[in-house]
Amino acid sequence: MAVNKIDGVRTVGGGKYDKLVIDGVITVNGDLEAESISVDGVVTINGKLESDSFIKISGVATVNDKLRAKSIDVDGVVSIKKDVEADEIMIHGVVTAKGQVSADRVESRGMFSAEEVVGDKVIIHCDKKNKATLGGLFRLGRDLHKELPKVGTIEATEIDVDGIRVDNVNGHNIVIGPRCVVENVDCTGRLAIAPEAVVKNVNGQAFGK
Amino acid sequence: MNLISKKDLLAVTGISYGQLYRWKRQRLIPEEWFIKKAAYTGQETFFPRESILSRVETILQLKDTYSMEQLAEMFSKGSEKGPGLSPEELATIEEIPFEWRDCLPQLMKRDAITWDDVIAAVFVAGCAGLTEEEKKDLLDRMPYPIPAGDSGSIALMKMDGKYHVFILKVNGMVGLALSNGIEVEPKPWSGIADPLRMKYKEMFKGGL
Repeated sequence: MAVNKIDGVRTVGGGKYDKLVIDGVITVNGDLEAESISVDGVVTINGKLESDSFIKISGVATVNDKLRAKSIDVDGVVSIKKDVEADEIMIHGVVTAKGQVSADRVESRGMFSAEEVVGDKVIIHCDKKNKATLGGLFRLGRDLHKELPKVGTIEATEIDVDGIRVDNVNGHNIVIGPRCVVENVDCTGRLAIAPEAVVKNVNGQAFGK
Repeated sequence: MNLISKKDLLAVTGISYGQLYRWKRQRLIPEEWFIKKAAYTGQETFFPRESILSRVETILQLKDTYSMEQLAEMFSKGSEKGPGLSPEELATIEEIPFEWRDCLPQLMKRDAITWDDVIAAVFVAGCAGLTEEEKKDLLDRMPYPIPAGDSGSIALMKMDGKYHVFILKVNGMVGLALSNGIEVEPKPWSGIADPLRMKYKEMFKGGL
């Protein structure tokens, strides 16, 4: 399969490719679709970014529309203005999504903020190690709760969160870790809430962690 | 519009959040069916009750026979530009009165009958209290192409002593106000379409 590379400092139009590597400082005006996509450098896409296989983002990317792939792996810093759809999403870097993030499995070990995260299994852990590596985003002396990344709603069959603020957590089996601030929890199966977590309203039976 | 909350939907059908959102991603459930409304917790999602219950039942029954891509194509079938149903296929649809089957293209003034035409004809056939002539008049005046879809609905309306068919692109009577005394009971398009898709699934084999 041919590898298409967009690099340097330039503005290009959208299009369809086989295998695509984007590097450098690039602005893409239009929708970009490829069999697989690897993004590095600093990239702004004024359109959709779509792949039937995988998208790997290691640099700094702004997607001003939808992001869709079978598998999405984020190691860098990504901002998405609309929905994100995938079978599997893995986040080690920083992701901000303005729309709905939907996947069978969403796992974040980095910094993940979103309007809505839905799927089958959602794991969001913002741990101390990541905080230390993300340029001191969390500084000593500040209110921890205000520093936590925020998600509006999480809805999934299985949910496991820690180090995050959430308005609504709705799911079947839910685990809420110690460094969480949650407004509303609605659980239809097993619910475990760490004693240190701040949870305001619970609809369901907590089993303890 | 008669709605069902997401939580009730999951409880009634036994499906999980994961399945619901996977089917949405796979275009098996139209995005327009996810209706967000303000609630004391912020926002809650509701669905058109009859449409979603029928759709979930159809997916559950067919998911082991067809791939999700085939199902998505099946649910979008109806407004395709293809040659339409063959006379042999039309002859097997029991919901269309026997005496209409051979002459449905003539009754509806069509060169070929599409799935949307079948759905409209099945709706007309099921309208109680109408004479045969009134039903044939409705078929004769049926719009072409039918502007419906799975998010739409179809209704029977009587005005000035004459029956009319109303086809809406939205579910229920959203955005439509009628004079006092005119009663319309819209039926979700998918509520008619999905049972037909399920019953005549053999027709879709090989053709997708």
